[in-house]
Amino acid sequence: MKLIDLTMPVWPGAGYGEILPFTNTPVDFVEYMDYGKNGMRQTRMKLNGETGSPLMVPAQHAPFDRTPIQKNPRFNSTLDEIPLQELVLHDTAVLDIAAGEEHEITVDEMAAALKVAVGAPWSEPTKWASII
Amino acid sequence: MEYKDLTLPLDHNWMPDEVLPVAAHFYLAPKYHPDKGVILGSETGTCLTLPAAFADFRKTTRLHEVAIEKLFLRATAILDIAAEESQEITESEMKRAIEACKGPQGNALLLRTGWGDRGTHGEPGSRYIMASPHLSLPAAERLAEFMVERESDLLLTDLALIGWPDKHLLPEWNSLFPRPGPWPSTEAQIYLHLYTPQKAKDDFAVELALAHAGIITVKKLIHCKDLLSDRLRVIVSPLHIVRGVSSTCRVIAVEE
Repeated sequence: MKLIDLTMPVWPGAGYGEILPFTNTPVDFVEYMDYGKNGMRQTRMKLNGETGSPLMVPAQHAPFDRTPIQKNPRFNSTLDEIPLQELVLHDTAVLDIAAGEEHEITVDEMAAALKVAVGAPWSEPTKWASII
Repeated sequence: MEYKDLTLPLDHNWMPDEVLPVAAHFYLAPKYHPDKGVILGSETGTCLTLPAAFADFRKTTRLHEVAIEKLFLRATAILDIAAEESQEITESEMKRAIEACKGPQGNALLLRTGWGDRGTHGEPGSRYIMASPHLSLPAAERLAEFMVERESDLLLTDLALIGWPDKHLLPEWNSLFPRPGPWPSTEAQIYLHLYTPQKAKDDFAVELALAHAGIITVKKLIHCKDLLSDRLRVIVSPLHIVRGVSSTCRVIAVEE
């Protein structure tokens, strides 16, 4: 089996969203133990809910407010409630829509991509046990 | 196929591992607070630590360089050493466990003591950390030797502390009453200001022995009780931190 990491890296100062007028702030790391002074390194990390490659749930303001950002979402789990089967070795279809800078994806492009994706292996769940 | 979550939950109300000054306080600040977002230490909750966390090995692999094959669906053997509260695991106990450990070369190793199944991580107080079983230095050296022989470089464990930092850290920090909060409390900042590299070498000799053998450690696992050794794989998912040396992580067991 081939493994490919699709994760956006995280680094101090990385900004994801703070260019918009939200209350997000950049990633900030404080090395409160460091090699020279302490012989080892420990870091306090300030991340945002959307740092790196984020997984978003409808209850965006949880745990302080569980109201979903849109009414009646199909799934309304918070992070600790998502069944592992939804996250681990989940069969996945790829929607291919090549898009350039500032391109707005249209409904026609989406429909065409969906049409090609239907019938791909995702409609027949892979037997992961036989692969690994 | 069955999945089991071995991860200590990140609870914004309270974390059981914020006892020592080397830990950072975990919290979620609400909207409109200047700290809005997630604040955590690099070893908050279940965490992965690379040898590069220590100055002697600072030039070794960092988090963004770890091959994904080392962490994702890694075949894993279980090393069973049932340990009581505060027990120091000896070299002879380690030898016996190693003799009983099966599995091919290259497998990761999960050291299961039962500590993560006792529920202490869900209780208030400091018992989860302060009464954790731990390895003696000879036991850790024997384990490192065994892992090198087995070409294994990933050690997972349900211990809250792998070694026992009783040369300086524990006696000095425990002498303060009431016990101050973790970093960034004023007391923790002052304590770490005076915590020298030599003190760290004395306190973290066990962790350094494992790091010297190039072993990546993942500690503070829970719910390891029912895992079956002969068909176990693990998924270890740390944050993808550029040049990071340790990270909180999610650990999932996959049993075929």
